[in-house]
Amino acid sequence: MGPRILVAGMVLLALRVGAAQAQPAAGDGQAVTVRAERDIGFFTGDLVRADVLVPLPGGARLDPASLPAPGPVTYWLDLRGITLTRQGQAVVLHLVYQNFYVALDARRLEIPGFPVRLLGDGVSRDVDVPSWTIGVSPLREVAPPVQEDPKAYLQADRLAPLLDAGRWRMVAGGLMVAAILALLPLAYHRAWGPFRRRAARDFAVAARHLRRLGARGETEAGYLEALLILHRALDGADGRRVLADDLPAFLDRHPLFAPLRAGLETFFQASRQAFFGSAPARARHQLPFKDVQGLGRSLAAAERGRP
Amino acid sequence: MRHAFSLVLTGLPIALTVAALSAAVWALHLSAGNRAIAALKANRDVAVAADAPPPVVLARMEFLIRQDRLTEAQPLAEALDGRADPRLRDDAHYNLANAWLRRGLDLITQGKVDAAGPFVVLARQEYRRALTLAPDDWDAKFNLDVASRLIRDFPAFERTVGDTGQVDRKRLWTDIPGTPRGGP
Repeated sequence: MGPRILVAGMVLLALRVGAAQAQPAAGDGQAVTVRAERDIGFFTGDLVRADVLVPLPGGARLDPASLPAPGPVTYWLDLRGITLTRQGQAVVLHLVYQNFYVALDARRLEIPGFPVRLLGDGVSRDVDVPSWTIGVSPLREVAPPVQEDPKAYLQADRLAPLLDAGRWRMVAGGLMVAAILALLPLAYHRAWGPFRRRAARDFAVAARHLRRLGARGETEAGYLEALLILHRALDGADGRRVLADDLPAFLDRHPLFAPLRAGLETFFQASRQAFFGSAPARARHQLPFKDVQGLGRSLAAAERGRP
Repeated sequence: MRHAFSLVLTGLPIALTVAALSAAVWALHLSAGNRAIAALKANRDVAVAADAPPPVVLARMEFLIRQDRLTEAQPLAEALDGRADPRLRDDAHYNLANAWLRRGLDLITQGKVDAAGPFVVLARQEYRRALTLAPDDWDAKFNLDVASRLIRDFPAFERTVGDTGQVDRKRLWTDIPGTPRGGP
């Protein structure tokens, strides 16, 4: 026998004998067959699956209303489901039963057959699906070892599980991290928070230039350039041109630099002599290059006092 | 195009935040359920709504069974049938069946065999429902075997569906097993 056991051998005989009038078109050589995945070894609660092949001679079709409804079949057997598939000139009923027979010994039980109706050419006729048998088996020994308390025979209760809160906390955390990460491009796009442009450090840049200029050696042209560098830095810090006369207003607007008032005044005097008085030498005497660098560094240090 | 880009940039964090908050609220809800379960397991009589998360209802049943308040536990198993997953419903019916059977066995031990009958029948029904939900529940199979050896099924008590049942007037009450189930 193959993987599918044909339980229909004896059933075929019964059909030939008992169902002559049920099949007026006998002689087509085909009979209803029941194929079960196995027919032995069923415990209580086991599902019993069977495929019933119903041939459809001459273009007849199966009346779905004639199929048995899922539900109890006998006191020990439930029909759980029935589905149909077409297979060439036949229809296959896939039946799922559930066995509730509690066996004390291995024995054979009969699963009852049922009629189905075939419709075709205005006539209907009944075809019997034969009954078939399954072998049920006991689950326990007939006489189990004697227990003091009969309750000890039972399998234990099953405890209620806990809810899976931890996983949802992880999901919430992961989504929160994702939300924060998704906030980064938006913050960049809108120049929020860390992406806001910071105020330029004009004097820090100037002090760096002055240092580099000093490394190249002191020349008159270099000195004039150094003065210009400081001028441009002052302009940048204030957002407008700052001339000698604007110094008090500049210091009002930027009180950070007030302690350097004296140095800045000297710087403006030197600058005036260098550029307008055409006396760079005197200017260099009044405010040597080293002091220009020093003033730049002091201004840069004062600048760091604001964000 | 630029508008859509801005919209996506703005919408994504908002959507993710809303999702994260919902997940957090759900996690809090589950934590509250876990606290109720822990309290019930510690034998504290915590009231549980019928629509609470299924494991909480199951814990409540466990508590009621421990207190031997089986008639209160029975409707909870029925309430779970509508919504919990089959495994949990199976557990509910299985535990309830064990409880009924233990009560029956206690009565048998005390010699009250007649009084035990209805409880054994109730237990068998609950095992059968458990097996309908989970055909591979071996504990239920085993215990159904135990219960069935106390009281066998008889073909005379055939189960019927709908109006297919035929009532024999003379035997109208014979297959009523005893205490009606559910009930107030």
